[in-house]
Amino acid sequence: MRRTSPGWAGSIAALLLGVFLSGCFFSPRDPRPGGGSGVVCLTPNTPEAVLSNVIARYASVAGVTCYTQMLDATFAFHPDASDSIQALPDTVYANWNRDIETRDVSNLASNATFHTASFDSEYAARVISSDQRTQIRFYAYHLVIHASQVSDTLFQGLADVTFFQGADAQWHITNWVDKRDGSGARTWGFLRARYRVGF
Amino acid sequence: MRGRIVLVVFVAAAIAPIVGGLAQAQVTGDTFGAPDTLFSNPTRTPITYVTSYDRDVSTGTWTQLLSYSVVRPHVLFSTSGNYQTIDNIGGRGLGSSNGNLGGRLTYRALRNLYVNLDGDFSKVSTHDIVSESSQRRNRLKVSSQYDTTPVRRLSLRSLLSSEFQQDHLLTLRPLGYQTARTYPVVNGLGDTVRVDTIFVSNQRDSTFMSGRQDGLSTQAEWKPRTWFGMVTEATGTRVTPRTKSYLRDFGRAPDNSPAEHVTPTLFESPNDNLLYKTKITYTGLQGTQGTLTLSQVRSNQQFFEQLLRNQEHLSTNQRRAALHAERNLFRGTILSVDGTLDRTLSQYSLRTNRSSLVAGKSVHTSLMYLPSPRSRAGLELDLDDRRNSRQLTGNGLNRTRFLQGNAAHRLTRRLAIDAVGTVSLTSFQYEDSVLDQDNVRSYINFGGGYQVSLACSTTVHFSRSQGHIVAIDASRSGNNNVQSTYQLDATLRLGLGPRLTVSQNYLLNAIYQIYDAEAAEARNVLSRIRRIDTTLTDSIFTFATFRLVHNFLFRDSGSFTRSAPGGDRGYSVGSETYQQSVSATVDVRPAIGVQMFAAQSLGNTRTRFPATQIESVDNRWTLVLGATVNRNILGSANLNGSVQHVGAYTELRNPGAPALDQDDWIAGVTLTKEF
Repeated sequence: MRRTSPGWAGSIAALLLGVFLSGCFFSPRDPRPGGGSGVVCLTPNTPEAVLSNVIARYASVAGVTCYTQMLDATFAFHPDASDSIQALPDTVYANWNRDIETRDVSNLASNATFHTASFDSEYAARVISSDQRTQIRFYAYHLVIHASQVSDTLFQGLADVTFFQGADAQWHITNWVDKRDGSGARTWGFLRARYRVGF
Repeated sequence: MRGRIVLVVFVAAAIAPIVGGLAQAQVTGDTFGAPDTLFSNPTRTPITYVTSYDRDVSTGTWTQLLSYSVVRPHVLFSTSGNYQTIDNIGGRGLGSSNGNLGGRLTYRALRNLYVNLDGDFSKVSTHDIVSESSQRRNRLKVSSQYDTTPVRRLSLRSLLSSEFQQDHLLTLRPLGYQTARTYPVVNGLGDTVRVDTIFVSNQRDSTFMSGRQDGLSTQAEWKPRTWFGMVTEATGTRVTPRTKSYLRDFGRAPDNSPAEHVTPTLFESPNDNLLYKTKITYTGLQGTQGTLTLSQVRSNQQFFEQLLRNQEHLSTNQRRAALHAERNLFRGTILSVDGTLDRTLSQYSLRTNRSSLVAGKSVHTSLMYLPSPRSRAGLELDLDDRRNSRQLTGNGLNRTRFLQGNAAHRLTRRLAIDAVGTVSLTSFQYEDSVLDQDNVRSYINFGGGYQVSLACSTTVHFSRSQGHIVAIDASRSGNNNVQSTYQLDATLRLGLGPRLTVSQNYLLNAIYQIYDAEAAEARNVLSRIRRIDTTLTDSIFTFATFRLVHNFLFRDSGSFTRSAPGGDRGYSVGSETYQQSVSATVDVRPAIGVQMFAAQSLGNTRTRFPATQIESVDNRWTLVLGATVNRNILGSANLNGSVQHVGAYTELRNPGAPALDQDDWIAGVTLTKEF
C-alpha cells in the first residue's frame, strides 16, 4: 500500500486549517441597524483631496475612518523638538505610526465636542519630485478643539506634510513634521500627545 | 543531592516574582555586565573625528563625532562624543542642538573581578524666536562585577553600583496670551497678609535634580545538561533625588508696571526600580527547541513635569511571560510557536489621564516547508488581543488576527512561479461603543517570472485586494464600504548590448469602492489606471552614463452606481487624468572620486472633466545640477560630499494658483580623519 508523504499530508492539513480559520476567524461583526448616509470622503486622487478630508474629518467621530484612510501604511509623525524635550522622561511621541495615529485620533474624537481645522497658508515653496509622485508641502495651520482632557482650545504651528502617490495612483500622507511657529501657542503634536494612552 | 538543591533554588527564584505578585517594567536584554571575552583581544581604535554638514530644503544639520577606544589585558577604555545642531531654514528661528559625551573605563583587578567607571554627559536644547528649552543630564557611575562558579555548571555574577545623577532643566516659554494669577503673601506666622496679582505673559522655569542611585544586580546561570539551561537575574536600584525648582512668572501688575514672581519648590522622594527575569532553555532532538522567559519589572519614579510645572509620580508595574517552541516535523518542515502574556499598569499622580492598564496575549504560529532550494512554502497565523482599561478614554479590546500563506517553485532553470495570500481582521471593541469598528483585509497575488538570459527577464503578477471597513455604531455605519482592487503588474528587463539596458514596469488596475448602505449608492466610485515606467540606461563611455526615465500614468475616475434599484451598476467617467514625466540625466566622472551630473525633467499633468468639457494642463520644468566627491585627502582623511542645485518652474494656468517655483541648494559633506 502506498503511504502518503508526510510533507503532503502536513501541507494539506495546514491548508485545510487555513481555510477553516479564514472562514471562522475573519468575519466582521454586523453593524447595528439604523445607520445614516455617513459622511462624504473624497477619493484621494489629488493631494488637495487628501488635505480636504483631513480638514473636514479630523477629530470627528463620524470621520475617523475617512481621516485614517488618508494616511499611508508608512505614515510617521514627528513632533516639534521642544514638545519632545518637554515631555521627557515620558517618551509619548516615540514610534508614532499609522496605528498609533488611528487610536489617538479615535480617543480625541470621542472626547471632543467641537473642532475646526485649517491649513492657513504655505510658508515655503513645495518640493515636488521629478516623477511628480512625491510632494512636500509646508503649511501654517491652526486648530480649535473643545475637549475635556485639554485646557487649551487653540493649537497652531507649522506642518511639513509629505504626500505620496502610490502604485494605485491614490495619494496618502507618509510624513508629518510638526513645528512651533513662535506664537507661543500649543502645537498639533501637543494635542495629539494628550490622547496617546495605553498604546 | 547538590543538583536537586540547585534546582529547587532556581525554580524558587524563577517563580518567586510571580507568586509574590511583584511585577514589572521594561525588560532588559540578555547582556549582563562585562562579558568574559572583553579583554581577550587587545586592540586600539584610533582617534576618529567625523564632521558633516547636511542641508536640505528645510533644515541645515551640522554633526561632529569623536571616538577612541583601547583594550589592554587588564584595562579597557572607550570614549565617544557627538554634537549636532539643526537649524530649520525658513522656520522662523527654529532650531535645536544636542550633544553627548560618554566613556567607560574597566579594570580587571582579578580574573573574575571587574571595576568599572562609566560617565555620560548630555545636553539637548531647542529654540525658536520666543521660547527655549534645554535639558542637561550628567551621570557618573562606579560599579564592580564579581563572577564565580560555586558548583560545577553553575555560574554567578553580581554587580554593585553607585551612580551620581544630575539633571538641569531650563524652560523659557511665552504663553501667547495674558492670564491673571494671584499669589498669597504670608508672614512669618504663616498668615496671609495680602494677595498679589500679576497678568502673566511669560514663564521661565529652572529645575535642578541631584541624587545618588545605588544598585545591585545578580545573575545565575545553570546548565546541568547539554539540553537544559536556566538563567535568572534580579536587579534593583534606588535613589532619593533632591529636586529644586524656581518657577518664575513674568508679566505686569494691575498698575501696568512690570512684575515678576518666583515660586521656589523642593521635593525629596525615593525612586526605585526592581527587575526579575528568568529564562529556561530546552534543546532536544530533531531540532526541538523551547524557551520560557518570565519577567517582572516594578518602578516608582518622581520627576519634574515641565508643562504642568509640578512634581509627577509615575508608578509602573509590568509582568511578562513568553514561550517559544519549534520542532522539525519532517524533512524541510519547521513548526514554531510563540506565545506571550503581558500586563502593564501605569499610574500617574499628576497627569492622571495618562494612567492605564494594558493586558495583552498573543500567539504567533508558523509552518515553513523548504524541501529543496527550488521550492518553499509557508503558513503563518498571528492572534493578538490587547485590552486597555483604567483610562479616561479608549478603554476596550483591540483584537488582531492575521493569516498568511505563501509558496514559490522554480519549474525550470528559467521559469518560476509564486503566490501569496493574506487575510486579517482588526477589531476595535471599545467600552464607548460608538467607535467600535472591524477592518477585514484580504490579499492574493500569484504570478511568475521567466528569465530568457542574464540580460533579459520578465515577470507577471495578478493580484486582488479587498478591504471592508465596518463601523458598528449606527451613527458611523453609513460609511461602511468595501474597497476592491484588481491589479496586473509586469516587469521587463532587457539588455540591448554591453552598455545599454532598458527596464519597464507596467501596471493596470481597477479600484471599486462600494458602500454597504443602499442609501449611499450614489457615492460608489470606480477608478482605473494604466501606468508604464520606462528607464533607459547607457554607459556612453567609461567615464559617463546617460539615463532617460519616462513615467506615464492614465487614470479615469467616476461614479459606479445603479440607475435603478436592483439593476446593474454603470460606470460614468467623471475625470480623466494623464500624468507624464520625462527626465534625462547625464553623469560624468572627470576624475577618480569626482562625479558631476545634470538632470532635466518635464512633468505634465492634463486633467479633463467630460461632463463639462473643462480641461486643465500643468507643466513643470526641473533642472538639477550637482557634483559628488569621495576622495582621500591629507593622508588619513576622507572627504565625501555632494552639492546640488534644484530649480523648478511651473507654468501657471491660473493666476490665483500658488507659485510653485523651487530654487534650493542641497548639500552634504562629511570629513573623516583618523589620528
